[in-house]
Amino acid sequence: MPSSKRQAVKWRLSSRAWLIAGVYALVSILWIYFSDLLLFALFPDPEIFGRVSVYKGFAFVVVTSLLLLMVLLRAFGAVEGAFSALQSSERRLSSSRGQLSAVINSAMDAIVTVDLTGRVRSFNSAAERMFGTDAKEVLGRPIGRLLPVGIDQFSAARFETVGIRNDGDSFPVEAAVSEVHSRQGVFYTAIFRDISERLSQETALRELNETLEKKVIDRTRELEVAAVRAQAADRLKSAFLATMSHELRTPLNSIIGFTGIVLQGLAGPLNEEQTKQLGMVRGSARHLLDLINDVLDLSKIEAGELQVKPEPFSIRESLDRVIASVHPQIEKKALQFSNEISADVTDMVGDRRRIEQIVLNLLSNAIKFTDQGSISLDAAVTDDQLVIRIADTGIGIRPGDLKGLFQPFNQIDTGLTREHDGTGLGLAICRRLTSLLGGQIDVSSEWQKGSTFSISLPLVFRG
Amino acid sequence: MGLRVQLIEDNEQNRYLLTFLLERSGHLVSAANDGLAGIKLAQQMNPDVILLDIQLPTMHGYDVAKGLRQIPALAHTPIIAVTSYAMPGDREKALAAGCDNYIEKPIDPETFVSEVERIVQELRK
Repeated sequence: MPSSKRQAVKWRLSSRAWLIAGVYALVSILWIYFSDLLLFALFPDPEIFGRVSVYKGFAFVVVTSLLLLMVLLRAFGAVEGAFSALQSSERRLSSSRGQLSAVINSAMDAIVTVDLTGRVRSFNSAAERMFGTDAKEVLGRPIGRLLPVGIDQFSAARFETVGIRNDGDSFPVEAAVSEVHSRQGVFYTAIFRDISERLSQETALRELNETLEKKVIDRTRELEVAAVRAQAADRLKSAFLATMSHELRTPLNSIIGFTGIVLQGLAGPLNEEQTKQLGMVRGSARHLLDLINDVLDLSKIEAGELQVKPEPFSIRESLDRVIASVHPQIEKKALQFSNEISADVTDMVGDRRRIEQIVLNLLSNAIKFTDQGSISLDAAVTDDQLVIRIADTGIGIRPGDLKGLFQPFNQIDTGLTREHDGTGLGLAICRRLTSLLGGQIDVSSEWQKGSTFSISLPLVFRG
Repeated sequence: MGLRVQLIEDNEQNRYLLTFLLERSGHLVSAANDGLAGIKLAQQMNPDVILLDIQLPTMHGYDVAKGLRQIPALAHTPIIAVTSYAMPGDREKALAAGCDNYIEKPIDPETFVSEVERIVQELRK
């Protein structure tokens, strides 16, 4: 309670006491004076007056005694009330102090109070365990024995330092400090926590990170080396393909050229047998060239070297051109040929050369495997897709052979009679090219009845 | 019509083949077996058309084409690349290097000469 308020209370109580005493004196004096006047008027006889006066005096004493009793009883009651309130508040205080000290003592963390001079004022059991010492060993002694820091360090709310155990061991410790102002002065209450584990975890984590980083760097380096090697291998492969392509074709160029010249009679006349045999030479040379071209095409596709070059072109003209180019073969085998190219098949965007190659390949196959009957080519546009269907009435394909049809080197009947020329690569190339061009190729066939190959390609393909 | 043809081709058989076909049709052929000789000969001959093999030893066909184009007298002479399209992009590279057109190898002896004549005719227009 502030002293000014206490002063006011004291003043009020003492002034009330003075007032009560004053009123009592005044009332008593007036009573004595006026009651005597009244009695003297009633009883002028001095003897009666004297006796009545004595009775009046007794009555006055009795009445005032009763009044005094009442006042005293009230005052004692108030004192007694204040006393018991004091007692209960003392009880509460001591119990909460006990609770606090129990909490402090049972706390998992070390709690230490120091005063401004750095002397230890409280030291809980966790602190005893942490520093390996008894509270009585350190109470009243400087905290510096336990922590090599000055008291000014405690003004920071949080700090990390090294704790020193009684046996001289040291350990990393973290302190959380709160400043306490009390009647006895200013204290610092610090909660200490042993952070050895946390620090070792942090160290382990840091080391792990460093190891990981190192691993990543190592792996990256390995990958870079591998990538360089792969690039070198890739360049080597491309160069090899280019060289093979050139070296294999150059001699064939002159073989086919000179055979053509001699067959045309440009180098002088030939007899029938010479013409026939030279024709065979040219046929074989052309077949060899097809083989080389197919093998190289497939190698380039497999190596990712074959790039498609989309451009706008007239697919109608392309189809006409391909049909015209196989016409001699159709006539030679006396096959019937029909085509139905719908009016909306006009222009498209794609790789003209490659699309012609696919159609030519399929048409050549149809002719190759059909000895009698007919071949047809239909083309139409559905849903922005060009669909070309090439059907024949040839030998067809056995159901069991359909599955591996588009695999390289998979010509049916290969190795038995070799009745049909070819590399066995044509359909494999067709399928790979179609998918490079964003389309697909399908086949349906009936053994001994014929086959239908259909390719669908996007009308506009940008690669 | 008797064109003066400068042939640059390293393969002996192919050189003979093309020379034979062209001369048989009444054209005049001067043949070189590598790029440098070709450029030198072309400067002397001032040909009507240059047939240029792309896969040449020592100096690549593209470089030969670029070299030919830097000679003022040959800046507008038709150059036809005779190439086997070994790798993707060869055709574009040939055109970018200064060639006007290209004929694919292996050549067809029946149509080769007329193809050359047609290209020269078109370029003259």
